Amino acid sequence: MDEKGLENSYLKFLTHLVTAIRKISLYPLKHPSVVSSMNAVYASLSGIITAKNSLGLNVSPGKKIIINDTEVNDKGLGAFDVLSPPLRQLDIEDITFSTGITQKEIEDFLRLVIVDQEQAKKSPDINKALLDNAIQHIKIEQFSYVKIKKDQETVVLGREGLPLDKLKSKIKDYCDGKIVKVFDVENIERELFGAAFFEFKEKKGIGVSLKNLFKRFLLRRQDQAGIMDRLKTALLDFGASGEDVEKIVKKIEEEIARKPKEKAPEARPETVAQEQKESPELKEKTEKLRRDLEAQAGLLEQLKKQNQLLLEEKGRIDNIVHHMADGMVVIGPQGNILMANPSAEALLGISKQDIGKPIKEVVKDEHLLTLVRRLPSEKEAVVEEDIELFSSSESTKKVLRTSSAVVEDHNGKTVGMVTILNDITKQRELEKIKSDFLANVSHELRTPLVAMEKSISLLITKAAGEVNPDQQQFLDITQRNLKRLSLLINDLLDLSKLEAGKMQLRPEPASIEKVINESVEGLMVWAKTKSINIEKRISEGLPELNVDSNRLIQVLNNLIGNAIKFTPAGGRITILAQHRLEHKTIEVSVEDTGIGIPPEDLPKIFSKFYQVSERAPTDISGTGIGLAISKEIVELHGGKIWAESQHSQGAKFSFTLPVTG
Amino acid sequence: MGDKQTKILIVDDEADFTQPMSFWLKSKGYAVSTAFDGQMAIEAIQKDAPDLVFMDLNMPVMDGLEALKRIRQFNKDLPIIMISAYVDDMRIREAGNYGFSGVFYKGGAFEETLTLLEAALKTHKKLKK
Repeated sequence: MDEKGLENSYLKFLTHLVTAIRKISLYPLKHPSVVSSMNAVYASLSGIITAKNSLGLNVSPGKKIIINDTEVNDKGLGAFDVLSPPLRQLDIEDITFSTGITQKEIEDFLRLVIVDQEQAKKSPDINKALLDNAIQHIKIEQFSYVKIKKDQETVVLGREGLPLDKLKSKIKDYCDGKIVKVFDVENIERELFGAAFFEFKEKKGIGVSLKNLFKRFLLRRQDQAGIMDRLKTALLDFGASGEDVEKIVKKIEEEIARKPKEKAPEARPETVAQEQKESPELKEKTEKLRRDLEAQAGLLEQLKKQNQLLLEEKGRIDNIVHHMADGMVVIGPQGNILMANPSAEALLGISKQDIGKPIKEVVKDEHLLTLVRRLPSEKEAVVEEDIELFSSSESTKKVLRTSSAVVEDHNGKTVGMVTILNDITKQRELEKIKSDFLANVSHELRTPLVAMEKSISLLITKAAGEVNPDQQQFLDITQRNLKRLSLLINDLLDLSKLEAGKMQLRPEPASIEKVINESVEGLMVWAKTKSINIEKRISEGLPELNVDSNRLIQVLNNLIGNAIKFTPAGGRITILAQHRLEHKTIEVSVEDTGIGIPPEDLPKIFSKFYQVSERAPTDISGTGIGLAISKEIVELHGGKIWAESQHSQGAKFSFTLPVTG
Repeated sequence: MGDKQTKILIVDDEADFTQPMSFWLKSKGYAVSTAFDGQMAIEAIQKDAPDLVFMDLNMPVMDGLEALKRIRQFNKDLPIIMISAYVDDMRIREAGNYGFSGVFYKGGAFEETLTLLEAALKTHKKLKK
């Protein structure tokens, strides 16, 4: 692997590691999503270890991530902000993964460091904690804590006193202009020197984070040469050998000179020199400029933070969309697939590589393309559609329920369409079972009913002998209610036909007046029991229609029956029939003086099983399917049906039938 | 039944139900009248002063619950037996707040109306004493 290749694989490893950490914060460890990201971490890590024998990960305080001495630019991944907080909790600075590492070790390690931090903290030595957990191929180096002794005064840098972290924050304060007293600044300087001395003594080198601190401090102090001299003196004071002093100074100087960006220390003294000569106004201006720059730097920092938060939010949403059980696909205005989650890929039969391509090219089932056909400038909020996928065999047949909504940008311009795909094959199967069941039960119910109807009619017609007037009365009631029952059962049968799309008309020439009369005659007795008056207003000379009379009688029975049910005793029902020449239709209306329908219920009354809330449940309610069937029958005739009502002022149901020829 | 006939009022909008029920109660020696809804029932109670009322819950214009509420405003002790089509009708519980003497479920045998009726009248008499 060449340098470039290595850098790429570092970035890859970092990406997988960050993903894995994000996931174990979201899901249980055994979650497939966590497992898959662990696999990815292990795979990328093994590649690097094979090439380099080990992988050293250093998360330094300067927002830098260094892998095997190479600084890795995470390209907006936000790796630092994911890795740093948990590692900082445990004072971890360097992590070394070495040859022989297993996936389980990585998993255990991340569990210990990210999830079970409390356990890790309890252990006095984190490397021991690793060994206790059978993690042998990962070594940790913590921040160095050092004690320095100067002028009989002990400054402690360590767990009990002043860790590198505190020194860091002090230097930050100094850089931000919060620490100005000469004495304090000198103190910081001395602590820094002490830290350098002890770090070198322990590690035989200067850590990245310490080097960074030096760099930042120097940037502000603007006195490089002077500092280096003081550093040498201090190191000798601490008891370092001349050789070591040279090494330390060299390392720090190297670091400072490493980046051309760090020219500031040289540039600054010049400015200072000038400042002294310039007029007070210019000095003031310069000062103002400096403050502005600092303010801008603060803003930049804020923006970076916000950007980071947004990235995390995006990561979370991506995760949710990715793992949704429903399919979700976004299609652009040109019909290209902009995005699809794995469920959508499975349902549409496409793969990751198809994203970006026109849906027409990648979706094989042409029924699915209705998705795109409905795209142009839909003004409805959501378009719902059930799409049956073509399949030669019943067993693999699929039905998808799709709900699509247009996506607009903030200017209201259509930028695409988002569709949720739901596999409703099972639901469809259940619906079919229900319809079949309905049909069966209705047939079963009809059999005893017919037997009763026939027997009663024998009694009523006195074919079986005389009946007295009281008996006659109760036989009439029985017959009437058997009729009602059989109408209800017919409704159920019709519903199953309607759902199966099997309702058929037997049209023949008929007069609408005859149809109305026949229906009214059948219902007159019922109306009379409630003292309801039925009035007919049928225009003269209505043309003959080509209709299924029995089905139309059923519609009228339903409308008039409802009117009788919901009109109080003593009310009135008016049936109108007129020729609407301009529309080439005949319009039939049934108007009552009943309790009416609340306006919010009007749009729903023609749907199956719907009953106006206020009316239900009552013992005068029906099955709630009469109107749905009526609508189907009228529409099969090519007509329209609708209702008008002023609440508590009666209702008016109307339907039209086309006049042919 | 003593020397004076006991007067029963049946309130239900379904004539196909009130007719056989009236017939049944008449055959047991009661004087029976009917009303179609709550409003008519209130008028009938004020005019004819029945000894007991059978009242359906489901009726147009004024339902049984509302009628019961209103009747209780002017007559606290009149025995009223509620009629319901469903055993689990939640409104029965609500009706309990206003006081009634029993519930007759439409699916039950007519004999039950007699049991309920006699029990209600007996309790009523005891309370009177």
